[in-house]
Amino acid sequence: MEEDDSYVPSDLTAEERQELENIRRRKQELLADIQRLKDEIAEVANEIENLGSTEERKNMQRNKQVAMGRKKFNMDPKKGIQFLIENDLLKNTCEDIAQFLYKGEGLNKTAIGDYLGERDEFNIQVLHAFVELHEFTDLNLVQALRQFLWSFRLPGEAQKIDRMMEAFAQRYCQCNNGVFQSTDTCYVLSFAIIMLNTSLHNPNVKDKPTVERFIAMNRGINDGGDLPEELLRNLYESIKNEPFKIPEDDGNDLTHTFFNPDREGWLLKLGGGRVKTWKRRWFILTDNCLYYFEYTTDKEPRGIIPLENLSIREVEDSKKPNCFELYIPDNKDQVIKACKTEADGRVVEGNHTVYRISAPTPEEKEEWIKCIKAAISRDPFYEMLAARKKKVSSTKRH
Amino acid sequence: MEPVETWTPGKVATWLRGLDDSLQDYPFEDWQLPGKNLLQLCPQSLEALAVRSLGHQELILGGVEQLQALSSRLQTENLQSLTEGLLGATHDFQSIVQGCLGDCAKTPIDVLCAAVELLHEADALLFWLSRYLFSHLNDFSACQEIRDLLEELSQVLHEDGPAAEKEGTVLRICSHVAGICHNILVCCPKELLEQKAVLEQVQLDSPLGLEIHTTSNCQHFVSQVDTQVPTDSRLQIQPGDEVVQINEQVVVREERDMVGWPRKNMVRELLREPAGLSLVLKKIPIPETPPQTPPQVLDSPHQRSPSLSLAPLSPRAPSEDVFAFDLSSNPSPGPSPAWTDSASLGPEPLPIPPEPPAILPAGVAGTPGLPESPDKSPVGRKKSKGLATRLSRRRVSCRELGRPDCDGWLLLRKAPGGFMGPRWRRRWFVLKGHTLYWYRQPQDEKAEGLINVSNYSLESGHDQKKKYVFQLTHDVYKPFIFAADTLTDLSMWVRHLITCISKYQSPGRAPPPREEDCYSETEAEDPDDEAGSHSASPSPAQAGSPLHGDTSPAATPTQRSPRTSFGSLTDSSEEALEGMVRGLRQGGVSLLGQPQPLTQEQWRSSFMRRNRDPQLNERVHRVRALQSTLKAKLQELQVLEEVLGDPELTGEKFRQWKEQNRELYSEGLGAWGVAQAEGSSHILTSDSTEQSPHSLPSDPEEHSHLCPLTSESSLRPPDL
Repeated sequence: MEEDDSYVPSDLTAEERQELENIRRRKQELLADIQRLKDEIAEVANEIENLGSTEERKNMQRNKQVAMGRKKFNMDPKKGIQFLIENDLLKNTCEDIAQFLYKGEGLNKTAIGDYLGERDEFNIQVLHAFVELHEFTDLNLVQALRQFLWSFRLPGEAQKIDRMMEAFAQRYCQCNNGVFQSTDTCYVLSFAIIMLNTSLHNPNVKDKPTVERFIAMNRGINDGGDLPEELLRNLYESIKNEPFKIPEDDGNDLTHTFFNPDREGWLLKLGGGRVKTWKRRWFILTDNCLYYFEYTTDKEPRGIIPLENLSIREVEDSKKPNCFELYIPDNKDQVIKACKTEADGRVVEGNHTVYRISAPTPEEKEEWIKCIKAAISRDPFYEMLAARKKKVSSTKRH
Repeated sequence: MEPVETWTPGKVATWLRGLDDSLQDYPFEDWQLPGKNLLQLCPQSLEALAVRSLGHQELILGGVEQLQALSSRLQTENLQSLTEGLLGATHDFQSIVQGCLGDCAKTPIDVLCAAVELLHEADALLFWLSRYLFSHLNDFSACQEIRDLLEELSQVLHEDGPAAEKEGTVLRICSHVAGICHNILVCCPKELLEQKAVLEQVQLDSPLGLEIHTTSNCQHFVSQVDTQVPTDSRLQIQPGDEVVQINEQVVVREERDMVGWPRKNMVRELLREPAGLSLVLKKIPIPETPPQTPPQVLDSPHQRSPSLSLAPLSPRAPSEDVFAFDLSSNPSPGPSPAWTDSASLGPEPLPIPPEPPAILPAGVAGTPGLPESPDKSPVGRKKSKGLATRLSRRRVSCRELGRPDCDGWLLLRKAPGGFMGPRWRRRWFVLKGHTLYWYRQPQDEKAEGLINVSNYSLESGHDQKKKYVFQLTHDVYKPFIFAADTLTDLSMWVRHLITCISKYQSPGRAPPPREEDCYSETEAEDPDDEAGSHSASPSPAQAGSPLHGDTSPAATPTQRSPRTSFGSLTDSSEEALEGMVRGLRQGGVSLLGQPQPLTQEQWRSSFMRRNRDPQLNERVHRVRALQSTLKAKLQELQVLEEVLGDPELTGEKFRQWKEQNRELYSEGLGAWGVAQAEGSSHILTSDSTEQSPHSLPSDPEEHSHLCPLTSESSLRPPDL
């Protein structure tokens, strides 16, 4: 490495030699910074591990590593499981992991939900093993859902919910043969029940469905036929009388996404003001939002662009390469719902009708577009559910 | 207790008479001071009234202040505000405590202040929660924990102990309290959260059987009502009600740092009049549709609440005196001031029985000198001529309407707004007589709109998206378009509307009805709504008179059946589903009822508040920033390595590289040295302000845990 550093091509001008020299100096600085940052991160991480662990300190000695594994799990589920496996505290089989999650001792239910919702093949196996541990025989659908939804916290992402509810429906039908024509029926009805629960019991939802509407809404979902009205009425009453107990959002919800953002990096963003200028910003993609910062060390984002209802496209820009744009489909002049913090600390609405962004390289542009596309979702539940519903409703009709 | 502003000089004088004995020599009656001016009293004006003693001035002004506080708090206080207050105080306390308990042996003064603030907020909430209704309606036992937690807190603060442990305990208690608050805010029905207290007057022959508990800050709560109290009064007095006024005397001090009426004086006041006493109680009424309303509460306590002693006949606002002590500000936002609202309608805690004979409460009917006030009953209101405005026609709750001819949810089409196309709004419709009312919610206090159906014709309708569409059309005024969820609903409505139209439609030729007699809508409550320009002017209207002829001959029961346009069942079930999804979205909650960020501030705080534990939150953010910085540096290093690590670097390659990376190093490569100095100094300063440089040995295990950079595929960290 040293010899690389000292190498200077012969055809450089004096000025360029100086530049190269500067670059070399910069590299040394960077290396030092990087080491310092790593130390610092390790230190803060250590502080986090030791936070609030007073009560655990007593039996720490015996269970120290298990406790640490749990804490790691709560912060970042995958890392926690990995830690436990590496320390021979947990066998690396989906059954064992599922059992560990099912017992759930000391585990954050949000983290459990997150782990079970992962698209990874292995995680999906764990999910199925986890669902197998639930016993639903002779429970009605609401009772089964009560049990299931209490065992972890359903994540927010549509695809994750889809996988989990699919697994649930399979298990329920397996335990209760003949109640529903298909798992899809069970799936659709389960969703309807969860929505009903929220509609009836959440004070923010003004529109409280009647039992008639609930019945209407579930017409034809039993492979084209209707479910017994009696059954639907019972389920409705059950929910009405007693809401689902949902594991509380313990405030840790979003912690782990912090350590694993979908993507982050420097991008150039075209300003939205009258005078358009390109500004270099550090972008972080997480929780279906794009956050941007002026400096990587900033704690508060300069701006927030919620990706809901936006689309993304590649564009050519006369000034900058590798550009893409975020826009509202079908609405040319509508301002994108976003916000930014002014210099004086005020949070104001964004003034962009489109966000034009330039990536440093074509590869990075592709990567960003891919990740943002995955994060953009439009009424995901509704679409997901409507598709499934169409399927069950039309089964018998042709 | 009506608003002080409306007090007559006589009433003001009576009130002043109730003040301290030392003031009794002033000729209050001669002052002729109306309530409005009472509130504006100042030392100068008192001087002008010959109250020269500063002490006397203070006594009067203090009393006035009490009055003001009393009514202003009634306007603002509810379970939500109190819970949020406690939550806020908890957060403030948390942030002050952090790192502040430090090494000093004594708890710092600002921590103590914050703790006192916290206790006050908690007290206020607990007083609210100790009311009768909460022990019945919901399981609020968890809330009682607040008391224990705060006791523990004050103990901890006073104990000596290791600072870190102390801080840990304090923060744990705080997050527990905050958790309870969150629970209240999330789990409580909205009606309960927003319910405000009202003042109600009760007449008693004697205070026997009444048990009153006085708190340390001189608030007096009814703790028990036993059988010696006459039955009908017992219905009015609930354990937990706060005694605000006894025989005209305000016995409570709202200002926390003043001393209120001590118990002794309160008791003396209770026993003063052998003939009987009148109490004003501050109570929290049951919201409109509580989940498990205890039945006896619905019995109107009205009969025994003549207000005469409190509100001597006032020539100026006679009808308001009837309900004088309903200070309740009506929770439904009406365009008219809350006072008239509660006066003309009767506040929600005093439901009016639906059947006409029982409508006029005995107290009202028996009040001498009061003009007939038809507004008191929905039936009377409809028949009244020249009195009811369109606004007041709508000011009727479903319950007041009594048994409807038909009711249920329908969608009401709003006129197309801009590019959005027509919008549908789900409303609760009630058909009663010839009037079709609609409400946002069945429990709303007033209808959002109404149509005098007898003037309209029923027709089938068409809509691109909805199936079960019908409309009420008028040959002069705009049509109203509705959609039902199901075929059953549709046929039910059509049947009833046809019956209604044929029943009320008058055969004779009548002058064409005025627009305001045909329909009435509320002002737009959100900007999307079409502006209902009709509700503001209170023109006397012969409201809903059945005499009005129907000028539209088309309104016959033989209307062509709208059924032909109905689609398949599945479509409707999809719509019902869509409706529910929309409901969730409008409520701003996720599938599971998690609130979704909507405003800019919410988006921001959803990012900033990653963890409820402020210490953890702070560190999580630090790690986040450090990791981002680290990533940025690694990326930069990688770019530099393209030049520095290339053993076959040429001038050509170097210039190419410069060109490629110009965008990210826009400071310009020529100024590299300067740029880098600036860049790193910025980073250094912003880092070093955060923490002192420690040199703890870093655990390699930890390292890989929080620093997933090495596994990141997009980054090839160079060999270091």
